[in-house]
Formats: sequence, C-alpha cells, structure tokens
Amino acid sequence: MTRMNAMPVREQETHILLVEDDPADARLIEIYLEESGFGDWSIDRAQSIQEALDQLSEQDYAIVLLDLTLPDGTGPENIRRIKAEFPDQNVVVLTGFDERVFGLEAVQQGAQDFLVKGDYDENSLAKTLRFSIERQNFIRRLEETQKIARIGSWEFHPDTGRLLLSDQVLALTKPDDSEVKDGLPSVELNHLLRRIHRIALSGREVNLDTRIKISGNGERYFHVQCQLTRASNNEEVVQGILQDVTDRYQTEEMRKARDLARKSTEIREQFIASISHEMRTPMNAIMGLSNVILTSDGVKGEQKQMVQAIRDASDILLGIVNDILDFSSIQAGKIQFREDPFSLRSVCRNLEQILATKVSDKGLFWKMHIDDQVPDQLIGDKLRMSQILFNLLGNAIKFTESGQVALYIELIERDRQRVRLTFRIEDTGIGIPEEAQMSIFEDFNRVKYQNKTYEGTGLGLAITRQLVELQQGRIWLESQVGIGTTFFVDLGFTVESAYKNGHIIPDATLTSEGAFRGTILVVEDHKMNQLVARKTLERQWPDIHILMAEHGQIALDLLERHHVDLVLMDLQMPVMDGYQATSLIRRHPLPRIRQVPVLAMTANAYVSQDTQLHEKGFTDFVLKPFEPEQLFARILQYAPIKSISI
Amino acid sequence: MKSEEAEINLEYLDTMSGGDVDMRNTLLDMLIEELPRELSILLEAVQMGDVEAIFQASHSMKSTLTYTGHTESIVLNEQIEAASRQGIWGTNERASFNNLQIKIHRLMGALIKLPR
Repeated sequence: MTRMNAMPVREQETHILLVEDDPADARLIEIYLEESGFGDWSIDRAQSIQEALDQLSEQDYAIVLLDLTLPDGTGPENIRRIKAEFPDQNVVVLTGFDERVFGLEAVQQGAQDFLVKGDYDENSLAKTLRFSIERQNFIRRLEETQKIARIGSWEFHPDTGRLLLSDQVLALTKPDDSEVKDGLPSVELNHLLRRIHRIALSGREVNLDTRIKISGNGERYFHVQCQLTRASNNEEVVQGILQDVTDRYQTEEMRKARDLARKSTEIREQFIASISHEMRTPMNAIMGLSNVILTSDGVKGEQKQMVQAIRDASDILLGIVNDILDFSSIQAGKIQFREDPFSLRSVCRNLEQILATKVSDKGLFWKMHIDDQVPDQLIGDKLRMSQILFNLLGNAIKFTESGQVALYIELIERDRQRVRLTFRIEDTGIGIPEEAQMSIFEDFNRVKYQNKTYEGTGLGLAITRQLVELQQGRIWLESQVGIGTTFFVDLGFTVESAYKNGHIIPDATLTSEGAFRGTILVVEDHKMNQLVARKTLERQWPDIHILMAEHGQIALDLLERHHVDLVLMDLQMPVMDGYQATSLIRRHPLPRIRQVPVLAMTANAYVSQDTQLHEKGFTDFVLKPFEPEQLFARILQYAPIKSISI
Repeated sequence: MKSEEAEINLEYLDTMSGGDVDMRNTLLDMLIEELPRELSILLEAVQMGDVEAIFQASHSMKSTLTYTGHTESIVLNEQIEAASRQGIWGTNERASFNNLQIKIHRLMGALIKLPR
C-alpha cells in the first residue's frame, strides 16, 4: 500500500482509494488530479480487490476508483465484491476502451459512474469524481429522510425478475437485524409485492393501505404506492414506495374507539336517565296510594302490614331510582348548583324532622349542634346540601344499632363575603375497616359487614363525594370498627349580605392597603398584560413572588411544583383555557392546590355572562383592563391570612 | 381624514407604567411589535374563514388595543370579537375587519412617531 499526498492533510480533504495494479495508470490519475484543481485530496492505493477490501475495512473513503482488470478479479465481479461488503460505498469504475460494456454493467451493479481509460482528461476526471460525491451525499440524505419518514422504496424489473429493495424496506418489514442483512423480502412482503406488481403491470396505479405481519413483532400498517414506468433504456420497471403508518393508524383507531365509547356512554346515560325518570312517576303513585290506604280506617291487621311492606319496598326502590338519576346526571356533567338564599338552621331542622322516625324506630339518641359563629343566612344550593347531609346521616342511622347519631356544624373560615363550614356526622355504629375506607367513596361500593351486604345501590357515598367536590368542597372520614364513624364535609357558601341582584358586589370597605409576601401565579397569554401584571404587583408589594404561565396547562404544572397563595386566571387562552384549568384545580388530589383561591381576570363586557364563575370554581373575579386598586384589594381579600401582614 | 395621533389615548398605558419611563417605552415598543403580528394572525384567520380563530385573534388583540386607547379600533375589534364569539361572520363583520385593518395601519404610523 502506498499513500501519495498532494498537499498536507486537512479536515476537508477527499480521501480516494485507487484500486489499480498498473503503476502508469495510477500515476496518470495523480497527475490529472493535480492539474484539475480538484481541491484537497489524498490517495491510498491498493493493487488487488482483496487489498482494497482490507483498506475499506480500516478507513472511510469518499471515493473508490476501481480498475476492472486486477490480478484477483476481472470485470463487474470486482464491483459486486466491493458492494457485497460495503453496499453504501461510492465507487467509480475504470475500464479499458474495449471494456466499456463492463462499465455500463458496473453502474447497474451500483457503481456511481465509469471512466474509460484513454478517454478521460483532468477535467472529466474531476467532474466525474465531484458528481459521484454529490450523488452519494444526496442518496445518503434521501435515505436519512426516508428513515425519518419511515418510507422505503423498491424497483422490480419484470424482464429479468430482479427486485431491488432499499434497506429501509427491509428494516421496516423485517425488524430483526440478522434477517435484514440477507437482502431478501419476508414471505409476507413477497406475497404482497407479487400481488401489487400484477396490478401495476396491468397499467393500473397501486395506492392502498395494508398490514404486514412481522415475525415476533405483531403486525404493522403500511401505505403502499407503486406504478409501472420505463427506464432510460426503455425497459419496463415497477417502482414503488411503502410507508409505515402504524402510529397514525393506531391513533386514528383509538380516536374512533374513543368516539364510539363516548357516544355509547352518552346513549347509555340518556337511556338510564330517561328510564329512571319514567320510573319515578309510577313509584311516587305507589307510595302515595300506599300512604292513602294506610291512613284509611278500613285497612287493619295483616292487610295493613302488607301495605306497609309495599310502601317500605317502594321507598327503597325510589331511593335507588333517585341515586341512579343523580349518578347519571353527575357522570354526564349535567348537574347544576343553584345559588339561592336559605336559612341553614331551618334546613337542618327539616332534616331532623325527616330523620326523626328512623332514629326513634332504632332507639337511637339524636344530637344536633350548630356553632353560634355560623351565619344562618347563606347563599348556595340548599337541596344539594340537604342531600349530602341526608345521605351521610341516613348511612349513620343504617349502620348504627345502638348509641348516638349526631350532626355538628362549625365555622372554619370567614371573610366578608364567604364562609367555609365543616359538617361533622358522627355515629356509634359498626365502623368501617381501614382497608375499606379507601374505596368507600367509589362508585357501586357496597359495605359488607360480618358477611352481611347492606341494601342500596352502592352509589350513595359516590354521589355525596361528587356533590361535595363539584362545589369545591372536601369530604373525608375517620372510623374505628366497633366504635363508630365520623364523616367530615367542608363546604363554602356566600354570606347573603354580600350578594345583590345575582352579582357579587365589591365590598366598599375592602382596602388595597397591606403588605403581601406570598406567591401569586398569573395565568395570562398576552405578553403586555403579563408584563403589566408583574410590574403592577411588584410596585405595590416589592417582596411578592410572581410565577407566570401562558396557559392553563403550564399553570397546573407550576401549581404542582410551587406553593402558590393565589391564582390570577385569564379566561380565554390557547392550549387550556381558564375554565378548564380552574375545573382541574378544583378536582386536584392535593388539598393545597384544590383549595387555592382563583380570581378570574375578565373584561367588563363579559362580567354579566360570567356570573356563574363561582359555579365554575372561581373564587371571584378582577376586571380587565386592570384596575390596580381593585386588583390589590381582591388579592388581600382572598390570599390566605398567613401571608398578609398589615 | 382625522389624525390617528390625536386619537391615541395613552392614559391606561401611563397608569400601568406607574411613572416608570423605561416601562412606558417598553410597552410602546411591545405595542409596535405586537399589533402588526396580531393583525396578521387575524387576517390569516379571516382568509381561512375560521371563525373560532378569528375570535381568538380578536380577543388577543383587544388587550393590545386597550393600551393604545384608540377608541375606533377598539370598537371595531369588539364588534368582530362579539360576532365571532357567537360564530357569526358575515358582511358586516368583514366590513368591520377591513375598516380595522385601515385603522391599525394608520395607528401604527402614529405610534412610531410618538416621542420617547
């Protein structure tokens, strides 16, 4: 082996492997290259095919200049041997004048071009080498692109039966590396190709989606296109591409399945709601008429007991129908909470009366205590509140054979407009084993105790939890088997005096004066508003820490990673809007996130449309364009007391 | 033709700057950068006939226009926003948009001339 350098080796130089046993021919190449101004180059020389293969296994070469008449090989066999071991190698063939037919054949075997000895000069040599390098680079880039797009290509020559598959076709259809190297299509692919070649040869274009089984790797989906063309020598060639579209196909299939599932769920829910509703009317008739019979004088003794049994059974059945109706409304997201004024004590007294018979029938003690600090006149959904308490107290009575059932209501938080109350429902019943406490609020969970399953749908507590959480409340329990159970419910209400004409009215006594040292998360996509919000807050409270999110999704991520005292939430944003983000905040498993105050930032024009902001989980709103004094006052009003020092 | 310069009202921008000259200039620079960008997004949405995108673009532009205090542009944009919010995009809205384009074009000329 000899190395001849035209100039000192630099990074950009072209490494050439000249496979030529004739020293005169080899020297001629060097002279031409020197005279052509080909650029920086270096030549290594090999005098046989075997020597060339050894060289190629040790070093990369931009070009192999291959003589077709060598001591250990002659004609196109030389290129076949090189290509068999180095299929991507750029090769330009040198042929004698009488062997130009070999040159053409070598190109068909994968050579980039051929030069006829005695028929080329320095310019044509340089031009051929440059073009071959460019072509090789282009092919590499094309292959890379095909790899990224998961596209493979092939050619079929019907005259000779020759099938040329790109590496990518083999990689996509035969992912096992050892199989790829044999260069042959899999049985599945071969079968497919035979089928589509028949179609293409009849002159029709093939354009189809199909799936191919891949051994050990399931099946994959491909888009296949091919058509009949003619090569430059007028030979018929079928050219085709196949693209792996499995991911797209699966996504589409999943979307279809999801849509179908959603549609089925909707239909099922509509059906359940409709049937349940239709059942409720006759059930009410049965119950009402049973009561009429029971209060009439003519019914006595065994008959009375039987009618009593009909009424009790109807009562249970109606409870189940109501549970199913509520559950399907919640599942369909159709439940609405009212914001009406009510007297808390009056609602509790009614509840007491309804439950009195059940309590006395079981010989239980009843206790109810509402803390004096709890305001009586509240705004909220009194029916849903009653339902929550009725479910929990009903359960308490059901599972208590002796002792006491009690309801306590305490104030845990209060500002000028809102109160937060804890409802404590205590019993001295059978208790709930620790392992069952985790799943007690799940749908269709029915309590089993001492191998006895208690009546009901198993939906009562699931509905109760949903009713609490949809009102941004919290429910949990403490229980000991054989001692009893206490359920806790935290719920927020607006104090009636803070409401006027369905709007929250700003409290004139609210002040914007006070120091704030907490963290505010501003969720706003508008750059100028972001800057203004930051500067305005920082001017007012230099110690404030501000987090900025461009949309709801980022806000949720930030809330999980940082302790945030208050969120200022824009409503219309890309990716995830303020409504969706706030809804997710209110359903978050972490209490510190679920309970964070969220102030909607809304334009004047939309305030009237956003009176339902409370129902959507917002604590309150601030107007846009910003009114700094109102903004500061709202933050001080709702941010937790611990971070404010006046 | 009225001078757009005279129609600009930077009271809100000044309030929000809180007397900070750098902040004021930053907001003015942002206005000059954001307005054409948002207008081109709105234009694209209009050309595509995508009413939801029109609403998003005009909603975003509303905040930006607030800083100019340029009542006519604000009102035109509000008309576009209110209609597209309800899924409406008809002749009146197209006329409002054409008008808004002209207004913003002139407004930009006036904003650039403002002293710093």
